[in-house]
Amino acid sequence: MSAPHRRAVLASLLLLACASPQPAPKPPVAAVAPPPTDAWRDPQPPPLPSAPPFNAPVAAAHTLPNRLGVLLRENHAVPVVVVELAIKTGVDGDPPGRAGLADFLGGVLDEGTKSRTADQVAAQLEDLAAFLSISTGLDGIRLHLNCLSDTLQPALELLADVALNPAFRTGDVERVRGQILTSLQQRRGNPGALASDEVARLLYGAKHPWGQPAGGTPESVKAIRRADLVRFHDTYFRPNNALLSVSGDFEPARILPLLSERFGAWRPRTLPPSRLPAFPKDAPRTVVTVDLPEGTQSQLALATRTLPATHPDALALSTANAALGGLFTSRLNHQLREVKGWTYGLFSSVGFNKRTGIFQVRGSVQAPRTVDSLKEVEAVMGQYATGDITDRELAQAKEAILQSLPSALETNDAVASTFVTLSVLGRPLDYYATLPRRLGALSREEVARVAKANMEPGRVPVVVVGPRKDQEGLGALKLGPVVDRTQEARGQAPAPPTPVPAAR
Amino acid sequence: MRTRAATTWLLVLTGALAAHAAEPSIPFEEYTLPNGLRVILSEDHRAPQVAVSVWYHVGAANQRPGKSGFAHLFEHMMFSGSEHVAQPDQVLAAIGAQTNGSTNFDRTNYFETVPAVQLPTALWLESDRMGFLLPTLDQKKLETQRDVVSNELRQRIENQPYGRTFLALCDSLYPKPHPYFHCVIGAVEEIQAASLEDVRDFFREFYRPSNATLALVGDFDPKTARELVSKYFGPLPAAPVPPKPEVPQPRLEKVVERTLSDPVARIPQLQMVWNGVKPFAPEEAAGDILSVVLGGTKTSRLYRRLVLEKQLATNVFAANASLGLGGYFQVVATAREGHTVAELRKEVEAVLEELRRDGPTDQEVTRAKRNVVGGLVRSVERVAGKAEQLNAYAMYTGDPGYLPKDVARYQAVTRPQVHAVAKSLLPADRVLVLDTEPAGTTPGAQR
Repeated sequence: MSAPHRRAVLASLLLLACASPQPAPKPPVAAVAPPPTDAWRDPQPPPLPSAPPFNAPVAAAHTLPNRLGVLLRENHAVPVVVVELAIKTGVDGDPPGRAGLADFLGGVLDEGTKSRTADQVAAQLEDLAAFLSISTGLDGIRLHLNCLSDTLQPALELLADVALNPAFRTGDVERVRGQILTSLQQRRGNPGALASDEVARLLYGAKHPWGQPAGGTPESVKAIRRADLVRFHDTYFRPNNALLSVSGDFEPARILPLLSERFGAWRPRTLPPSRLPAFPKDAPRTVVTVDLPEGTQSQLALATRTLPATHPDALALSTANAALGGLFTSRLNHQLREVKGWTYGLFSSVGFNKRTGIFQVRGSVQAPRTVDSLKEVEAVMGQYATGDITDRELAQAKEAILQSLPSALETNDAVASTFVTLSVLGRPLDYYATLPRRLGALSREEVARVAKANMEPGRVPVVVVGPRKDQEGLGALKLGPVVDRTQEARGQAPAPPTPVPAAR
Repeated sequence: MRTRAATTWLLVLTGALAAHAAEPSIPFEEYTLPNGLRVILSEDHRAPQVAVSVWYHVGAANQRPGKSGFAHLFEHMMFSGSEHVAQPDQVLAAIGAQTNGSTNFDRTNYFETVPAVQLPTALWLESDRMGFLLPTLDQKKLETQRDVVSNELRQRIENQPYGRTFLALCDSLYPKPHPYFHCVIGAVEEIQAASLEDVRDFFREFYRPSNATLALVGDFDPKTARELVSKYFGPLPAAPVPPKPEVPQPRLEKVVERTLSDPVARIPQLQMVWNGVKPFAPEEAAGDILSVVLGGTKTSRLYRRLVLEKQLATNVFAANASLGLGGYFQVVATAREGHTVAELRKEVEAVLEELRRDGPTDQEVTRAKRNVVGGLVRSVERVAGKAEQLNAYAMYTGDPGYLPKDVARYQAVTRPQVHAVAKSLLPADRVLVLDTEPAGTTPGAQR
């Protein structure tokens, strides 16, 4: 921080300005005005002397006889226990022509078990003041239970019933299907969702389950039969393909017997070999556009595949990202939001999974500034990818990552989910405990090298979703061929081009 | 690692619930500086971090006619630098702080969670923008934030399905010159018209120690914290507490129907909205329970009828929004593809009529109370959550330690009380009905 001497500098400049017309340039010391009484506020205060370390929670790992992995962390801060049951197959288990199956399954799982109706499941959870949420991701389905510690036993019983004994009654399946079809309809007007689907297709390919529109297409969702749901569940919901992560206020001596009681009889079975198509090879850069004439903003997304989670450069890439566009003060957000005033926020992110990772730049910009914004993003990324990261930026990025840990790992919800993520990614369970040391060892040169190797904009495809009249100048940026995907993305013909007014 | 729990838990057997419910309370100490700043300290040594939160008792409620969105625009200016802290975002980023601010109808808050050893920097920064914002404020900073806020409006309202419906709700319930007109975000042309003098006046009027509370929750030594608070906030000049805004709540006198065309929505949505209450009003707790019974969960009346049984809707919810100048009670139902707002309205009205006539069941009330109390239990799991709770209770009840009383307030709600508010809060003949239709479609038409 350079603030400490700012006031002093300002004061002397003023003095000089007043003094310059004077023939005698040396005013007597006594004539200098006394500093304002609040001058002591100028310097940023030093930190307090004691610096207690943050000890990131590390899971205690166990395995039940049926090969179900269990991760435990005791925490008595609040009378709450969180149990996350993770199935290690998600969208990657969708067969061809059944895009959206894993999402469908996640949506219908808590809508009735063999012994409980959908309404009974909901009512019993509410009677326990427990929350159960189910989320489907690219490589997993997670059932996340948050209950008060004195109701752990009945809540676990419900969780196990929902996970292991879904009924898939026709009425419930059809009701959920209708809800999914409605949400797919909503997505067609949502610029962020449309951009995400285009990014997925570019990165993973039109044949890969991950390259399909999120939640599937109306056609694929209509094609999903009850038998597909049953088969997916029977195949992948197996203890040898699952993980239980528990954080909270439980009795250590009681927890494993409790979990065994509910999940011990779950029978393992060999999984079928994965037959996923290879990711597409890097193709020449394209600019994909989707016309959404109603918007007052354009959604920009620049995205490419990068490193898998266990790659030795992964941490350096996360660090490089923080300075480029991960932090509020990062280059991208600062330039596009604060300097240009074209957006409410424009950020970059890196995400990892076990097979690959994504580096992505995203933001919504004023529609008439679509082309200008893309040009600006391109310039910021291009400069950064020359390896141009300053020591100050690096220090800030490291500090941000490091100091966010206590807060990021504060709740039982976060800890239980984080354990699952580490395990699924193949990262060690003490990943966060050792992070300060590993982060400290990262040099500026190393981060610059990784930024150069992974963030060069010339290899990053571009997606623009917004009013077509504001996309006119995209070709002139010469980023690559402009491909209009309006019809495919929105299931309708692109609107006729609107004449651009001569002057704005 | 120190594991001392910083929230105390009282396990009580609550007869009506026939289950153990954990009742949270937040230990704290408080005092007021001579200049009127109320300070609330709560130790929590689980991790080496401190949540710092400053609440100013100013929000959209304090805006003048023609100045919609102003309180929120002003919030942005508080991040643009003060006399001794030129770049607050840079300072906070350099110490790894997590920070933001927010403005609602009645208050504005600024908060950061910082490493415990950086508490001095957080207090230095917050005190500086409380006392020294104006000397470095200039036209350039204002213009930048006017644009940023206009972009926020585009992103969060105009480009979100049903975002514009919320503006219509505010404008119908709080017509000009009411300060809630156009909600908190405001109208672009009024935001763009804000002048430097407007910003200066607003600061002078509302940003003073006597109109704020400061909560610290986390890993600090209280003696050190008190010394630091006195050092940084103590010298700020005292000024009287600004008068509370007093604007009568406009009342719906009949059924008001509005149809809106939303260019980014693809599915019709029904909203029914009634005049609501103020925070901690006598009917508030029963109203909250009513909202859960009606549309808060998957066993609620509206979910069961519209989503499960009739399958007309994909999503329903109800909310009892209490606001300082009078709130609103809202029921929202989003259609399932192919169904209409007219169908939704018919069923919602039937459900409401049953509830007005027969009231909820004991089981529904018990369940809803558990749901609400369970939420309160979880709200204090984070140090930042506790800081917000302490400030909120201080503002609305005068007692930062109100949490156990709040739990008791919900535990005490009875079935007849919920039945009574179903009749008094949701009258059939004084309601705003908002019908949001995707642009380019005809309301009521089958799709």
